[in-house]
Amino acid sequence: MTESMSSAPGELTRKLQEETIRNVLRFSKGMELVHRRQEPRVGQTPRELIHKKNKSALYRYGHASDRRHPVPILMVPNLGISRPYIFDLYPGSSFIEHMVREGFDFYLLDWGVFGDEDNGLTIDECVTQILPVMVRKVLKTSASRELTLLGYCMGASLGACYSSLYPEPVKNFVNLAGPLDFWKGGLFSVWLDKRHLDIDKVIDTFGTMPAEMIRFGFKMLKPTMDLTTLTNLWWNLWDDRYVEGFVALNKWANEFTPIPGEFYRQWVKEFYQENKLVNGGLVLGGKSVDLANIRCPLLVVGAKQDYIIPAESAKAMTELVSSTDTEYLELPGGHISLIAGRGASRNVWPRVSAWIARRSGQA
Amino acid sequence: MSETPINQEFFSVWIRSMEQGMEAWLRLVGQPHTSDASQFWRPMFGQSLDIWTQILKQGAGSPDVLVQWKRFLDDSVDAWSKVLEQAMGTEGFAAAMGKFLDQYLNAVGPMRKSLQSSNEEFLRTMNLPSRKQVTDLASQIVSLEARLEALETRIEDLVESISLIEGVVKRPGGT
Repeated sequence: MTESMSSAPGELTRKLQEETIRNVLRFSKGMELVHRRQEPRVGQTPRELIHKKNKSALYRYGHASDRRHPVPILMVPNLGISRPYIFDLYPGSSFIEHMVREGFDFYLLDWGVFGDEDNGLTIDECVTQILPVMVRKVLKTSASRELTLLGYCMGASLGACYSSLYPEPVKNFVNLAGPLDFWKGGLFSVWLDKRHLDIDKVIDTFGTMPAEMIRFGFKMLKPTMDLTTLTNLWWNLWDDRYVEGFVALNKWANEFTPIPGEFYRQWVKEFYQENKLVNGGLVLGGKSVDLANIRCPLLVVGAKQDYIIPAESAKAMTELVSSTDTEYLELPGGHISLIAGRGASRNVWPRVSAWIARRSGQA
Repeated sequence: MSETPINQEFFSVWIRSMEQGMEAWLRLVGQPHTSDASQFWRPMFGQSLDIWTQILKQGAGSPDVLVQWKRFLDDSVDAWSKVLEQAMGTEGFAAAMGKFLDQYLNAVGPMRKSLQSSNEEFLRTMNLPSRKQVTDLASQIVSLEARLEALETRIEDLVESISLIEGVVKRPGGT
């Protein structure tokens, strides 16, 4: 018989009782989850619509009285794939809420959900037409001359293209898990290789990159993810806070959105297959994109277990720009762990907000 | 615990099935045969073995066995995930997936086209706009909106320039 069993029979009973109670709670909460299916209330931080351009909308968060830093922040997320309410998931677990509480004048560019009528949208248009208008609106609304550009995932790549073409208004650049060296892009780099994938055929067939195909691609990246999610849910089913987070995150994780066809064709060809951000030769709106034009302070955050955008793909940005003030953080967790979940609010957000705050003195 | 012949037999059957599984995986991903079968599965075996050893050391009666079981499950899934990632990261797998997609598109493409044309034919007969006509109209509205916005921006620029000039003119000493 083991020492732990013989020395503490009381402890054993207590643990058994605890486990029994948890199992009862698991069962009742599980039934509740299956039968009630209440829609989680996401995106609750107060916001104001500043500008709308086709499907894309610019939102400003918080109240004037909360804003302490003169330099506004424009967050540029991924286009298509998923909805941006992940950044404002629910009170107490919201990146935007955190940034507003830290006194930032925070703006979010919601690219919107694109339909068939947007299939002709290109990366050129996003970088040289939509982003400049949104930046202009941010500066005008905040009465500022400069801003901090915060890109997440694909948004960081688009933001980097924008900053290299129009460096003047960008005071600081933050790259949260955004790919820059696409040949270090993990499984996607292998799967999207031009020897194996005929992207023209896909886009010519569907006109768009359908949400279902995007879902399939992401599920393939980590086929065991659903199993892990479900076992973790069962394990924590007795914990109300965990379930609340799970329901909100699960809603987001299963809401895939399509990517406009021409945008995706260009994204795969010029970024993944030809790696033009590193190798050079990327021309957007008739202008050559050279990341060496970026001279502002730069923070790059990579996630150690990021299988969507491996940390080294994001890290490459520090070597491609001309900035003298650069910092690279590699934090535990995966791609989503940087912007949602308890780990993010503990390990990531405070470090990001502190870095920006130190550089948001004068606009 | 001493090993009985039944255990040994079971173990050798298990090893054989694992070797065959590995061969199947390697064939699927187009990798050459390796002489060391365990190399492919080692990450999963190693972790599973460690965890089971710990569980057995703790004693089966401990309530912590559930925690251990959860850890075992997590680590096993993790190990499986690594194995799958290793397999899916190969050129062979990417080529196989590309081929599958190509075949899927070959089947779906003509079907979509014929469905679209028959739908359009039906809608035309019913004197209703087709999907393409509606999306074309939406695209036109989008481009009109963009042109309006460009005009708005130019007007804003002009107003700004005018107010700057006015400021210079009104300033004492300005001409």
